[in-house]
Amino acid sequence: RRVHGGAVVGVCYDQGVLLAADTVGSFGSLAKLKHVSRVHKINDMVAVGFSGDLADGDCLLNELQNMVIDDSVLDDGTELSPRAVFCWLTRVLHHRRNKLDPFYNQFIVAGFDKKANKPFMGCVNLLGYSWEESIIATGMGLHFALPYMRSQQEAKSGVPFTFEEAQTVLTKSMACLYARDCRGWPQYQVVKVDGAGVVKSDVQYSRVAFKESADYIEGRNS
Amino acid sequence: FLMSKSRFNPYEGNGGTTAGVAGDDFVVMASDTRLCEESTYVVSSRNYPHLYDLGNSSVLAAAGFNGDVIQLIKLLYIHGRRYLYQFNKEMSITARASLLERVLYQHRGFPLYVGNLLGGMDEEGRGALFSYDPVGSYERISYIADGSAAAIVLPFLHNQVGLRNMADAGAAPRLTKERTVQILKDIFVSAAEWDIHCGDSLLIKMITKEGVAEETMALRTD
Repeated sequence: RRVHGGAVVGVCYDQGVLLAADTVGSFGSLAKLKHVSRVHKINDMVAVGFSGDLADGDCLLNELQNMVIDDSVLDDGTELSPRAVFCWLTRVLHHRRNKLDPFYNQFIVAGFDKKANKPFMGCVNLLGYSWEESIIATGMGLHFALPYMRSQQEAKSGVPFTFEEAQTVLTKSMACLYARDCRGWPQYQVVKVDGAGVVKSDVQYSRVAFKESADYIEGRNS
Repeated sequence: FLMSKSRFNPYEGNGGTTAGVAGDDFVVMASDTRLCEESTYVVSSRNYPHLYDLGNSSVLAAAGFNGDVIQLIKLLYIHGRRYLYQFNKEMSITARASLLERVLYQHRGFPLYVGNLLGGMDEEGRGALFSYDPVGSYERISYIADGSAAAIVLPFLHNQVGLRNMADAGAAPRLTKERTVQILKDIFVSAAEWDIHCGDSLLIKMITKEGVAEETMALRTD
């Protein structure tokens, strides 16, 4: 058993991407760490979120942050693009899989491609299996969030979400994950990536009404 | 109990069905666009074609384990550019075919789990199609199917393209590009019905001496 994180959920909308993950680090079924940040800004164009082993995820995140520092030291006006981060992560994860010693994570890379002027989102996992999509969820999110988000997207018939629609879809997905996943957690963070940059929100709370819980049990009424 | 502990499995099937037909002056390559995790029955992307342009009107159809597909494509791309810069011309299809065999066999000890079909125009202007196993064994062939629904597509191609196993097939009409595209469309509709990993949409690339033309068609999404 190692400390691991749960689902990460990402939704593209017309102008950018929203990425959300809860703030618990689970140790099996024990909620060991309660204020873990699993979505991170990388630079003004890219954010990443990861699920799976927190130590491995933090190691890769640290490498990415060092690459950003190298960029700013070079000071030549270029930055890591979302596709560059995505490609790098895919190669590194696949390389470790080739050594049969994987980084045990699923990463979502969310960014705004300034050249194409379009949002970008891709997912890569511990095997080096990677793809781009406009709706991605990892872990339990595959079962709880992804079908709901896809049905909302199909209802739009090819028109991208607006920012408000994406926010609603994301909030409901995170609430569903808290309510249905027994290792879920009500507090989560959201990162918004668009043409103007990357903004990470404060910790947000899933508002779920548990009707059947006893009145005398505290802590479940938020 | 300890002896039954599961080891990390570096491979995974990621769906995808591919087919190719070579005619007198054309090659038609087809693949579905579904990317899925076969073991967990999750569809990762509905818009992930398994056909890759390698340059000089050659197209690789590659399905199997997505992490290895990506590695293979990047290797072939790098080899192709190196050849172009060294010899100031694009690789011929027979050179590419031979190169692919070498690249696959170099991974004989830890195979690239990819089923490859390579199509292009040969130097006499005839359609060339090569089919590979995961460790590089290859032959030039006039039609073939690979991937998860190969067992559905290939017998149909034997019957309609190869005119095999029929008592009164009669004289074979010259196979045209249009007839080939129609045959492939028909069989992929059936493949999407009967194979859970095949579906979403069909991408067809038609290679002639003029270049590569594309066509898409919707398939079942369930």
